[in-house]
Amino acid sequence: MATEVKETESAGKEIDFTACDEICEKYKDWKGATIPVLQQVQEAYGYLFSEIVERIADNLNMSAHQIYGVITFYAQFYTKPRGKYVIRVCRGTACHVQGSGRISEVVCEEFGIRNGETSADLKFTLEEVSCIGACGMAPVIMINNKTYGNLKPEEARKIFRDYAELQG
Amino acid sequence: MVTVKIDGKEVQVAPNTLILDAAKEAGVSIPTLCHDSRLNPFGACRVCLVEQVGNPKLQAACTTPVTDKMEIVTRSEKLSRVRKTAIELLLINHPLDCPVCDKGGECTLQDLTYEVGVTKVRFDAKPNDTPVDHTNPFIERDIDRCVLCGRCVRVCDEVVNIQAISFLNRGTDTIIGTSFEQPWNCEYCGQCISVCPVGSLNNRIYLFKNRPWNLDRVKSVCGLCSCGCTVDIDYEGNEVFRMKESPEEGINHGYMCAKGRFGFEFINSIKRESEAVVKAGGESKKVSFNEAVEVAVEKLKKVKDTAGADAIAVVVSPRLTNEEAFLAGKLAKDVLGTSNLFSTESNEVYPEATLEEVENSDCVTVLNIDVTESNPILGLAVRHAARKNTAPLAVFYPGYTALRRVSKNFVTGNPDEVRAAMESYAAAVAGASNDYSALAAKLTNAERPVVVFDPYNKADVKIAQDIKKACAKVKIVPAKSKNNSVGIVDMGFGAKCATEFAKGLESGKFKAVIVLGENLSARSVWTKSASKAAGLELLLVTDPFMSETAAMANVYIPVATFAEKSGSFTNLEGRVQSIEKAVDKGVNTDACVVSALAKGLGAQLPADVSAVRGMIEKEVPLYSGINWDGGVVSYPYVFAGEVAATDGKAKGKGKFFLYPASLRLHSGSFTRWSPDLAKVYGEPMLEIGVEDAKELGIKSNDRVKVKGEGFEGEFLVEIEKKVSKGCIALPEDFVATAGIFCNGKSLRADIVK
Repeated sequence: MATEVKETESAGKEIDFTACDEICEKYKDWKGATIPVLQQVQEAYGYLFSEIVERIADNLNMSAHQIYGVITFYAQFYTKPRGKYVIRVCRGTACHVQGSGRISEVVCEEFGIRNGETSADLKFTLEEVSCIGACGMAPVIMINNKTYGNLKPEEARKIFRDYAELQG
Repeated sequence: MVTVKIDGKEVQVAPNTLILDAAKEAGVSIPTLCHDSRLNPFGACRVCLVEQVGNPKLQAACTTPVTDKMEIVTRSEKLSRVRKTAIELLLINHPLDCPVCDKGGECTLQDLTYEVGVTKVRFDAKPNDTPVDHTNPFIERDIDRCVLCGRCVRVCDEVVNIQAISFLNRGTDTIIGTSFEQPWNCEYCGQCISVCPVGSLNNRIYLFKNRPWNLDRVKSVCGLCSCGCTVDIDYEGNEVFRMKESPEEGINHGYMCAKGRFGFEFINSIKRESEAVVKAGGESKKVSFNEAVEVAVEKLKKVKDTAGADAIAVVVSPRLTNEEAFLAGKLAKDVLGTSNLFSTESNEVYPEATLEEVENSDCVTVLNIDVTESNPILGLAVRHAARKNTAPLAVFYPGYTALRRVSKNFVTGNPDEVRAAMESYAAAVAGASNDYSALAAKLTNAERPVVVFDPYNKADVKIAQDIKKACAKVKIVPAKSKNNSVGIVDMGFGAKCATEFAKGLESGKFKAVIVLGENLSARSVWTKSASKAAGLELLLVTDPFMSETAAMANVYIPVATFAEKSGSFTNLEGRVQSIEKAVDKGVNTDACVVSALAKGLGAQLPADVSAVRGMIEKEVPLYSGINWDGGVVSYPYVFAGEVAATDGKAKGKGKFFLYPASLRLHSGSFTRWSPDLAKVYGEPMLEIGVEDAKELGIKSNDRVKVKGEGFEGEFLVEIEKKVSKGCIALPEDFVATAGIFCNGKSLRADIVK
């Protein structure tokens, strides 16, 4: 979806529901459409805030509460804004043994965020995940779709600082 | 049929019967917690696990269907252990605050804990201490006590179709809650309270007021709308403490609505009158019952002697029992000799389909009425048809109602557009080819089609009749409003048009009027002439409260509510159901009033229910040999005759269309005396759509003036997403709004800020 990502809480601002309405229209009257709709709306708007959930509910003729139940069940849906860069720190067994806990701490030292949190400038989100499936290069992290392996904490710190300096 | 053996007992059951139901057949009881026979199988709690011979795994009896030659063991050493552990695990996070829990004494978890013999806590979990949620005005939610059986979520989804609550999160974090932790806002039907097996969802009206073992109980019928729900009235001494469902019983299957469950408080109201009042020469005096009757009798005699019997009129409220209405008719016709019997009801249309037929219908059409608000249990039946039988449901209404969620064919627009759509639909059913032909084909092709409509709107009755004429297999449901709207007609109070009474008051034809329970000022058909009643030689009013009409009376007698008398009501299906006396508030019933008046006039009329029933069976052919507890009256016709074509178009001029809104919390009479209902909905509110409100710059709870041809009034604003653009709605049966809708059911009006 090419729609601009809206990151801020919607208080007082007009929300452009066009993208949401278009997605819902595509799936109208489909059985089992909730998850694909939520995925696409999340992609368009960044995360699922209460107004957008209400809108989806109205469009799909469902209850917002039921949709919220689906959202909170799956780890893939977010009800809070997400950072531009999502740092996934693997906390699987191999990575744990190789000291991935320390990498999470580095993230916290650098940006002041813990697991599941997003920095105030909406640049970084920290997510501790169970296994990325790259145990051979433990400890491993992912930043958005890029993977970094065999990390030492200080190397990780450098990578984070490089991202922090990136513009935009 | 398959044969299964349960605990050594062989039974024959239909294939796919659940083990639990087969066990019931065999007379074996299996403990359950999350199971509710009215809901889909769920299997959350594992309390009903049973052994199947030959299968090493235990089976949940509430979700496993039987197979032929299946052998089930429900009691064994192993099962006792397993069940005990299941309960122990449920108790890990359950606070043991039973002494202060409202559910104590009628809690399934408490009973099961006792039954399986859990005496020690083996697990040391940290107790939860989540604040109790009071965002819902009627339902308290204590999430810590929840055992996640899911009955509340399921009943709200499968039966009510509102889905106001849902499971949130996953695994051990799962809780029952609302979207984004919003305040819990719903229809307030309280079905979730009735199915909660623990004290997680509590009735706030009853909260901390009594303990269940102190309460006495009578099974009766709710007196707040025409559905005729079987309810349990729980009382101690002469105070009603709660009205609750009779589990899985009655035409309502143990479901109730907000009004029925939380609206009973008027019975105990301290604002009720206890003494009769007689007014003479501008002075009112409290008198005894007998004195009031004497005054009334004197005046009746005088009017009859001077002006003739035709100057006397008797008006009854549709809240009276069949027996009382019959007696009132006898008094009027046989004792007073007048044929002026009036009520707001008419015999133009009689009930046809039963609620069961609505539930099992394969095509339902709802014409211009919000049944989920006006007759909530009928609303549930419609939803059941649409949801469980996936019957096509067509709804015509200006603005979305709660039925939208189960209806793929919801026609909205302004009232004129909706009317035009309904007319096209009726024409399409009759064979015309138009936009609604496809929808009409669903109705004509169905085997058991049902049409629900508002019998008080002449234009709608006409459309219903046109549909019935074109498609004879259609069964109709006139959604009457009050608990005995049908019964009083059967007792003779529907033959004369209500407007005739208004005319009689205006012209001064009536000199003495007996009003039993009715509030003339709050009925749109009479409100304009009501003030004329104040100057009559005799205005005798009976009412539990000092209503606007009672305040005008020169003889007022306080009377009993439905919880204080026995008798019967006939519901919207034409089903006669008995009500039982629960409490005594020290006032007489309408039957006593009528009987005393008759005695004063030198006639004998019994007040005793069984004696009156004997008379009814003899004199009212429809009721001869009727079963007074559940018998359905078979009516000679559905529509009395050709309904005259009425111009249903909105009358007057103005920017907005104004139509009457139905309310689930009130019908403007008794329930406005129930403080907790009044807290949520006190005075009539003007419903307006979001867009219109924005355009006019008005917010919720603003006061605006509504002005139309021949009426104006000031109302609080309630912004409602469901109201269509260009429309506004007001409830009908309030004193403040009756004067508006006496001009018509569909009007045009302007809003002046």
